[in-house]
Amino acid sequence: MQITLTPHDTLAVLAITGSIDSLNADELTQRFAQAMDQGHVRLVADFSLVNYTSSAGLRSLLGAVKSCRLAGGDLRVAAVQPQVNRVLEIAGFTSILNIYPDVRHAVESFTEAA
Amino acid sequence: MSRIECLAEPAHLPVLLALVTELCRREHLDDTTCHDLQLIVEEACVNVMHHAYPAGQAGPLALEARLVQDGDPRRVVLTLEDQGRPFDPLSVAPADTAAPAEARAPGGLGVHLIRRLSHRQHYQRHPRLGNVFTIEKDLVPPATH
Repeated sequence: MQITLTPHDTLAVLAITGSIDSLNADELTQRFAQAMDQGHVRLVADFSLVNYTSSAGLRSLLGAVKSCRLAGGDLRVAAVQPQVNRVLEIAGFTSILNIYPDVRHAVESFTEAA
Repeated sequence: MSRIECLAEPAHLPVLLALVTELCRREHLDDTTCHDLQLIVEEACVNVMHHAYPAGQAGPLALEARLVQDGDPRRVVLTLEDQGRPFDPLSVAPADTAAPAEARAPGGLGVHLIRRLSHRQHYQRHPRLGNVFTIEKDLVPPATH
């Protein structure tokens, strides 16, 4: 798994590549926390290149979305691939996460709310 | 039939997953089935790694993956064995997948995924083998799953 953090004016985009599993989910959690430490409570997770997530990745997402919302922001997820989306649906995450078809729409959703 | 025996430590997860990948390749299973089998194996093995043995005292974990051709339907049978404390993973309270984010507890998701991505699960405490957790995934799922 690789993660690239790109700060924008009022939000940050985390582009994630590869599989999120039990061995690397802590790294994702740390990167979410790092972004929040830098003052970003509006986060977009770009999932366009994520081909797998286990429950470890779901727990990381859950922790991050709770933290962002408590701080007045949100974690929004973009471009979820079908295999991963199926896992999100089974876990009931499609009802708690704001999911967008691509990064642009996710980023604009924050702009519209501002 | 393929079988791996190792210590129940996260570092061995890639080897355990490779067993399933190899089965999928050998039997030409479709991508979705292979994905689901990987996820099932990760969740089941990680449960053993985290909960079966005292911290720092990992014991044995065996994973067997086999394709059952006889009978109906054709299916993959995964069997995990460990010598840890008696623990039925199916006794874990089901994750509340309808709760809002702030009310979500982080636990129970792994077993929930196993239940939903496979067709039959069975736990037995065996006098010699210890915890035996068997998971079956049909290769032609019924229309109403």
